[in-house]
Amino acid sequence: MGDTAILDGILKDVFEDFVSSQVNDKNPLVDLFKPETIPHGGREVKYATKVGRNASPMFVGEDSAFATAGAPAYVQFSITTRKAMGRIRLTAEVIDDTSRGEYAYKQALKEEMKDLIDNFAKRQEFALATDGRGILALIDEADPDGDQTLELDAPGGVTNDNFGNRYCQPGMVIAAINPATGQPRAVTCTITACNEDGTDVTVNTAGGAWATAWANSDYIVQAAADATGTPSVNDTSWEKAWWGLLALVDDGTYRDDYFGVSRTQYPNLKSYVRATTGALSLDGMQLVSDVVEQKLGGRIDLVVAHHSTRRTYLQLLEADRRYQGGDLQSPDGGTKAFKQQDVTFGGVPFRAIKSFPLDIVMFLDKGNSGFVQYVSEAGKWEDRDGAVLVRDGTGSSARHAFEGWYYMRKQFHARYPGYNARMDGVTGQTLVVVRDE
Amino acid sequence: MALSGQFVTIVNRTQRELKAKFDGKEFVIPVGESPLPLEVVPFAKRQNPVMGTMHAKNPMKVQSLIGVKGTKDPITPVKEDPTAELFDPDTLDPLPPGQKRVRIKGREVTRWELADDNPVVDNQAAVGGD
Repeated sequence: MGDTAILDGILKDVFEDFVSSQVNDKNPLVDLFKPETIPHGGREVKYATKVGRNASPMFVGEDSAFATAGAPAYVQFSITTRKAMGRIRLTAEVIDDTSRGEYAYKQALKEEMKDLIDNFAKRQEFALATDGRGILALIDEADPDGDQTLELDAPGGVTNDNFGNRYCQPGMVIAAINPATGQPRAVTCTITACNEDGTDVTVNTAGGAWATAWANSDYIVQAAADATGTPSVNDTSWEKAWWGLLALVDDGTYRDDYFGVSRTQYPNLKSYVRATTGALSLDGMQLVSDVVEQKLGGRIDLVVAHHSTRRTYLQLLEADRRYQGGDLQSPDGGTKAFKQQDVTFGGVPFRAIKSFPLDIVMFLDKGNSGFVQYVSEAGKWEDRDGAVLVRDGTGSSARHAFEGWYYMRKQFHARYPGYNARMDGVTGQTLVVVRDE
Repeated sequence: MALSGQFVTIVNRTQRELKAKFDGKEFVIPVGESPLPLEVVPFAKRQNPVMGTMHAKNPMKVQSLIGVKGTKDPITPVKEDPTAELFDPDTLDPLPPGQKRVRIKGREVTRWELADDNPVVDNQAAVGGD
């Protein structure tokens, strides 16, 4: 008698030709924010901006004196690009043994190269949602006590007690930056896990120098490598990220020095910011639009917030909803937001973006703001030595493996930040942030 | 912008530590009097309003939990209202006779609850006049 157990030796494993991806590669802020591209080179880009008027025009009488000459005021912006780099490394064996369909689901070389570029898009998503300082989170432990769990808050450097680890990723090497000096503390370490409730990350070392050196409210940024000494600030992401919407649409809270011009000295460069909004209100949102119109004649054409904050807007409208006619037989308690389509306020789309800061609503006049990106390199594999893949090491350190480096150099800029506005400190949300790995 | 080095003495009118953000840096404001860079003061005042005091018709008129000593700013201790709303409802347009505004916690309330002279709004709005 034969059955599958007895005749197991002649059964085949059948592999379906399919790889399912459980990582979220959608980057809605990158897709939403498509600025004009301007080539960049040389030391820096400068252009003049008018920030004041000739004050001399006055009403006068016959034969009267009139005001001495005034002049408009101009200042110059200075814009330099910033760089992001990543790399892959593969052994000769994995390249060869995955080169054909019958050997592997996918070709390792092709997949690694494609995956790295997808991951650049994810970094750009983070950058566009923050202020260019590269801050992943702040330490939220009175005294990091030497265990392997590091409590975090203020994701992206935006004050909030929740979901501090939302921009962190297992495998990242992290350093702590002293906020008072802008210099790294001793020792870096590697994130091995991010907990689901967003409060902490697990790192690869316990105790030792990092626990004594790192302090509460230090900025957590990416670092190049694990180090037992003090890393160079140049080997971290501190102040090296592309400026995102928090820097461009700002009044000085995040970026007072706006590309070389002080927003305190020239308030024309400020966006209108409601610092502590509290509960969201329809009147408050209309007020923001009115201020933007009075400032520069702006017209808000897009409202952006995190999903949790957009839900507070929907809640404002719930009590006023009425069912009538055919709806009474089949009332629909939802809105277009359930399908993740845009709801509107005054006909303006109100879009939810998963990487957006948690308690901020941004009001954008994309048509007039002059959002641009200065690009030195849109994205390429370094090949100036004749090959994309280079041998790993020489002499006794040589390994039969190959590295490839990918890099981008750019910077985002808004020519007219005053056309936009922001509400900070919106409260009342039921915050739900789902990590995407 | 590099700070000018000028400081003023501010008064934290509450019994808790406050914070202010300027140019990406967070400044901690302890209880009582403390020095603060001059450039940071307007940000600190704006980021720490007294909830429930913003004039509905003029958002520039709002009290702050922080006052600058030696100026017209109020620096007396203030009791914070846990209300979530920034607007002062008393500065809104007056209501017709027989209507009144009720400050509620939570967000769900039925018109039957509001119609009560002494509404009990428990954040579990019952439909049907309960």
